[in-house]
Amino acid sequence: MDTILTSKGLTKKYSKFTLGALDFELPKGFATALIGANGAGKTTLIDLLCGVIHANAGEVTYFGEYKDIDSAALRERIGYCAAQGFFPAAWKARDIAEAMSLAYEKFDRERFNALCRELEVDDEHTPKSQPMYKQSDGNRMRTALAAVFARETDLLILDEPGSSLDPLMRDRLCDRMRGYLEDGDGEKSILFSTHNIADMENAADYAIFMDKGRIIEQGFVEDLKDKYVIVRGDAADYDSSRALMLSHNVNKTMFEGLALAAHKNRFEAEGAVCERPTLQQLSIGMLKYAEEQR
Amino acid sequence: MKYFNSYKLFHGINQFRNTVILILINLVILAGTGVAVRVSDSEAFCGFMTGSMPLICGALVAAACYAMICNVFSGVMRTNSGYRFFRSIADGAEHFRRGIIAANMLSLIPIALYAAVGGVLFQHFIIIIMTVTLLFMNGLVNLTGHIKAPWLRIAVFAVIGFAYGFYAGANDSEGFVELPFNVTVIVCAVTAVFYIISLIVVAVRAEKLWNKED
Repeated sequence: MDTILTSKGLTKKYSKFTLGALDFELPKGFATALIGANGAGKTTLIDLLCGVIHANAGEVTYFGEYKDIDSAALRERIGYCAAQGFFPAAWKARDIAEAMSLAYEKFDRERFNALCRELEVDDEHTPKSQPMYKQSDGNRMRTALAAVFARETDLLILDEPGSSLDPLMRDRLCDRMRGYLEDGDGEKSILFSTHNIADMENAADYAIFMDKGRIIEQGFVEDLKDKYVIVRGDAADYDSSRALMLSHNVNKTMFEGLALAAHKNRFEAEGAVCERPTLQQLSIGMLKYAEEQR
Repeated sequence: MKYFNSYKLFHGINQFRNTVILILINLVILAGTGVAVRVSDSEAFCGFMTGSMPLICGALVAAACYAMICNVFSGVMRTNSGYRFFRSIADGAEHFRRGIIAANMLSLIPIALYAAVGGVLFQHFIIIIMTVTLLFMNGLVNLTGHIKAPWLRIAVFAVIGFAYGFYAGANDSEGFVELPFNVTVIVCAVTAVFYIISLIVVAVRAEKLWNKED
């Protein structure tokens, strides 16, 4: 697998939370979803990868050559967008365009304005445009996304890009992310975090599941869907199936759970139905399993 | 130009424009007051205007200078929106260093204009004192890195208020003897040295400040 980013033993320690040590790789030319509950460490990991904070231990290699995130050439190649309050609250679209032009060599100002219009937010030519603090969370995110997509980058790192967007806009964001990868012709990659993958399932090729600062599973989405199954059966058969399931729900009439596909035959022999999971089902099952194992 | 660009990066065009407008309004008011005093025959009116207007305008210029420098420092504060943007940019530490230096240089412009306009129109001792105090405040902001502690913000403005009040009161007091000229020169020189040292210190410490995490 060609990788765009490799992490070895990446660790960040806070007084009440420790991230890592994390070992993972991001495949080149694909979109990777960082999935985890609130407090799993997704934002901390993204902050580390983008140089917002610095690690206590470990090493990250970007594009197979850079090891220092403070390298200006490396930062030029990474497009980053934080979940909330990415730009100063008092800034308007014009301030953002000006700052992005000053901060990055490959920022296309006209493209930013076009993207703002496409995403239906103020651009720098909008009369009486509103500062960020007067805009909704969704509009702030749209403006930030317009700014990051207006840059020429090789890796996009987006922290919860869909959480404040409406379903229609999330769908458009997925299209834009796919377009970004297609334009890159296998050279561009995306890492995005989410705690609700349901609306962005189509955007993810690779998934990393996190819980309490650890990576609990990772792999290509299609491989993971082959590795696990969703099991459904009568509540009467729950006790005999329970031991083989990683996580499960049961009510008076039926049970449902996540299990390894290797046990599929045994479930089916007991009359249960096995289905290929969606990424949403997989993420809920994995995170629930991790929670039970703590 | 790259210093000014780094400053613009942190300050934002919109806020920069507002700061410039604030400074210009102050100077116009100061100039208008000076003209009004010159053409007026009323001693009471002139006494009030020469005492109060330089103080008010000086305080507003102080606030504008303070905002110019602090806005750059805000870029390193995790509690402020925009923190992640500033932290993620290429050559962030260098932009930060250049931004601080540019903010300081730019803040000298309104101080110098204020001193020039006030000095010509009022020829008042208080103008010197206020200018010195403005420089002192800028130096204090540089050395403390930022106004993390609210008491410091209050202290800075309290010192300015005291200086203004003291000299305004002293000038109106019959029993008060003005500071000798050489003492005034020494005070000005010491403040200027203090300010230059603060600027050197903050320029050297900029990268360390930038890399400091809360």
